[in-house]
Amino acid sequence: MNPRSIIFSIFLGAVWLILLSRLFYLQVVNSDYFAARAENNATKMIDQIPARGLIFDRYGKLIVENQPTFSIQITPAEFDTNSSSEFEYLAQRLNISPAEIRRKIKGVWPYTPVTIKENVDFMLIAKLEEEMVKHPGVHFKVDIHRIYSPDITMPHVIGYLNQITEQTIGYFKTGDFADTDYKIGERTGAAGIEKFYEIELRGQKGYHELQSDSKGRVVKDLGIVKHPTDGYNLYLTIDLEFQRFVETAMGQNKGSIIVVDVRTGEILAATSKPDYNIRWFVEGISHEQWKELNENPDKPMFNRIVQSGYAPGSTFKMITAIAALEEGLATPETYIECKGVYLLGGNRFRCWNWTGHGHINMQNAITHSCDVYFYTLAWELGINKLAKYARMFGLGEITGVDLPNEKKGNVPTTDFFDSRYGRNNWKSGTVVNLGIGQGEILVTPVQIAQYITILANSGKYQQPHFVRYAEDQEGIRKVVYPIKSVPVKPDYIDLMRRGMWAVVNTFEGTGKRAWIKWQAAGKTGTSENVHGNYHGWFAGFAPYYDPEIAVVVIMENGGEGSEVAAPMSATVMNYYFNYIRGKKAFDPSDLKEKQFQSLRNAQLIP
Amino acid sequence: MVVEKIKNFLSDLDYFLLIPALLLCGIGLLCIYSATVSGSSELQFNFTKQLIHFAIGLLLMFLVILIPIRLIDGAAILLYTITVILLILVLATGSVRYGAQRWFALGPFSLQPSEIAKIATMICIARMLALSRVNPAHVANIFITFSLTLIPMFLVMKQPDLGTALCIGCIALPILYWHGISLFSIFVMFSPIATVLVHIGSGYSFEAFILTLFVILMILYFSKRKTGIILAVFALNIIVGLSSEPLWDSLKDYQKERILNFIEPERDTQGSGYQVRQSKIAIGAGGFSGKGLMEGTQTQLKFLPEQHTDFIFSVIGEEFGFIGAVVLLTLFGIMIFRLILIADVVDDKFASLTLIGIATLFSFQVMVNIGMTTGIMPVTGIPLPFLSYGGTALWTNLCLMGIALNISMRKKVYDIH
Repeated sequence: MNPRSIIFSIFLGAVWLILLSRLFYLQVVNSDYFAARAENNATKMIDQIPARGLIFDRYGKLIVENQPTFSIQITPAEFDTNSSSEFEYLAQRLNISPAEIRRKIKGVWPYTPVTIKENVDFMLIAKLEEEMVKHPGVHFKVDIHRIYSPDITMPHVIGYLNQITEQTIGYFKTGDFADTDYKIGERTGAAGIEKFYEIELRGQKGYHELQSDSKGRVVKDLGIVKHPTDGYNLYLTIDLEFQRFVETAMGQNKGSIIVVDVRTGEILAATSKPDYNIRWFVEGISHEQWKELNENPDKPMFNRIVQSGYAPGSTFKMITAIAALEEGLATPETYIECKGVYLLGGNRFRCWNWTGHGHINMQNAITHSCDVYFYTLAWELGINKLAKYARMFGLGEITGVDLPNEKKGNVPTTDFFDSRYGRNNWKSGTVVNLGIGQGEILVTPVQIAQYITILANSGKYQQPHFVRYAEDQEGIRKVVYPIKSVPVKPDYIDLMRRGMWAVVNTFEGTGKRAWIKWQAAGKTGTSENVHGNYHGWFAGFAPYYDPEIAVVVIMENGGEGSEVAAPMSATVMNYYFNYIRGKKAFDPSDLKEKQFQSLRNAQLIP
Repeated sequence: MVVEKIKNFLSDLDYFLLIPALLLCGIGLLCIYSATVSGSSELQFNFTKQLIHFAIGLLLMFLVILIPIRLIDGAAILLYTITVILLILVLATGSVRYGAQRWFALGPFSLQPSEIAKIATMICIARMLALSRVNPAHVANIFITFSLTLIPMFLVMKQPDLGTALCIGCIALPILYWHGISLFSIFVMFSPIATVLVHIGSGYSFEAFILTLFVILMILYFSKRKTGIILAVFALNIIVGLSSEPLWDSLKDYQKERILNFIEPERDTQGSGYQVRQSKIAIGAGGFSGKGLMEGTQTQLKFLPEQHTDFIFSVIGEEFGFIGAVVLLTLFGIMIFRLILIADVVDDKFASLTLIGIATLFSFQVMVNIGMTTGIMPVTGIPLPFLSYGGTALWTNLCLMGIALNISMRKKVYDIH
């Protein structure tokens, strides 16, 4: 052979080997991957959407249910896009312009149905369905919307549903949602219970398998390969009547009120004001409405119950007192002289009562809310011991209440100040202010509600929660929260309770205006606020001798707690004892034995 | 006597060429059947049509075998001229299909002059080079070959039919090399293209550019040519390299997009990228032994549009698997290697050059087509010889096969010369 034929042969041999190795790579090395893709190509899974769980109130009344709605879709590949009469027909039926339809189907993958109009009237659907034979490519889609009982408000408790968009779909592919198979356009809980229990409420999709060709035409029906599992029905702790009363009482004020049954941790009513109307979201909110809600300086979309951090003010003083007692730094009979000011290294810390309380013991210090008494105890305790007891009572920690995006707030330690300001770059006197609940300490209303529950029950409590029963395919079950206890001497808590009783029921008490005839106890507080007027707190429970409810009121920019929050508490508590106390909550007789140890961690039935 | 003659004729046939060709045609028909049977009746009709194409093609092939090779040699220039006129005519009067003007309609069938141009250009180049009196390495040979190639290439490109134009163009260099130009000349022709590709491919990296120039300079130095030539080639590379960036930037966005999509089809998810993706899925899903005839879901459910034409290889990949693909490549390998072997021993310049042209044409089409269906080469619309649906292409390939068989049968005659 001449050398040129050898070069030719070598060159062709090389090409032959390259092609062969490429084929080896595709057909031998990666054939499983491509086989799966081919399988995926040829089969089409039609989602069988499960019914979203229903929501009932405390008395078993249905308050949130589902309603099918219809939307009109076009599959451009089947639709006669060249015929302007087709566009006009549809435009006229749907009362939109032909140009809008053209705009919507422009540039999309022709085999994917495009939604042209949502929430189409059922009568119109019935009419269109008859005509669809003559208009290929036009079809309708059933969508499920939430429908609310007319007397429900509480947007921050229930929450709303939002459509998954291209921007948010990523979130629904990871974490808890990894197995849920969400798709763009599906609605998911975006706030409140709807969001917190999204996975439980939603249930599990089923699938109907079809074999289809490249045009998406069905070649073979392979039947339902998995039946959908409907979502859990939830029975809430909320008393709708009470809830509405609390919301009305709050009126135009900003802030939050939480009422907890201290015997069970059940939240009877919870409000965050200002708020919004959940019904706005049912049919999709307009861009303008959404913008307005989000740019409103009063933040109506912000769930103050679990997300807003306020300084606890004087409501914190019981923790300072208990810490000092537990640490042996004080006894109930420790007397401290208040001259209206506390001096520390040249700094003057004022008592709210400038004339001073004179010689005062612990219980009276609570009752009179004497600042100097607690300045002194706090200085002796130091920041970290104070923080330890605050955390013991659940401040600065997630309570676990079943609302999404709960904030921890902030109970500072020396580490916190060190990392924030640098070591030795902050004043040791900081602790003095923390002792009366001011400074860089932030708590949420629900944390205070839990803290008052603990005091009311002398140390034992169940976390505050919104769900009493959950119902799955097998039946209805109780949701049980473990009874926890705070390891402090019950005697010390009782001392605090006595002080809190006197706050409300004695002439000198700061919370006199929270007085009711059913013997309330509580503590006022004022959260100092550099941005505006003070936030007023009242945190109390009633009846004193056999506590049933804890009430927490925070009024943003409302001024002193004793002036605004205490009377609000009286209003709320009075209503409870007059109208709510006697009602009997829904308790099903045919309970399944197995209980949910807190629903969130309950295993979904596979 | 007639029986005797036929016996002699049959025993003289080169079965290393004929059997692979017929097997490939058979596999092609099988695949076309499989790719169209589940489609519309119009699509199904393609199988019958291809069967008729094949019968006519076989007849054509045997006719070509009977033509004395000298007659082909002598008619080369005339054939070339007629083809060029046909190409001009088709541009002026041909019918438009799939957005290109390529066909003369002949009843239910159609004729593509660009396919004939492949044969005509090839034998015309072979004829001119065989006639050439100058030193085989002389620049005049290069000039003639390129002139003969570029005219039909340009006309076919105008249709537009990039694939066929490339097929016409691919013949020039191998035939010139076979004729006797040096590897150095080929290097001189190729180096500017390489420079541009590296320059654009590396994102105008200055280092890569310098490195390319350095490698080119080294090769030039070791080629021991005259300093003047070395400097000229080197300067050409620098100029081409430097002008590629402003040239690229001067392109409009859609033009850049088109070129990038050409180089990397999967960038484009809906056009050619869709086809390549589906083709890869089909081939990959076939696995080692394939899903069996008419069992491939990609093929039967029509995930590849027009699969019976350019993407026919994906049917083989899916339904016959890696084994089928290896058999196919081996059949082509035997055929092409045989062509080179005969070209090596044939003692006639025209015949030898023609055989190399045929081998090049087949190899190029197989390489580009399979490269395209497996996603390692751009989508150019080059059919797979003997297998893809299409009358004129099949006839062309069978005529080429006829010429090869013709030469192979008579090589003993030439040996005596």
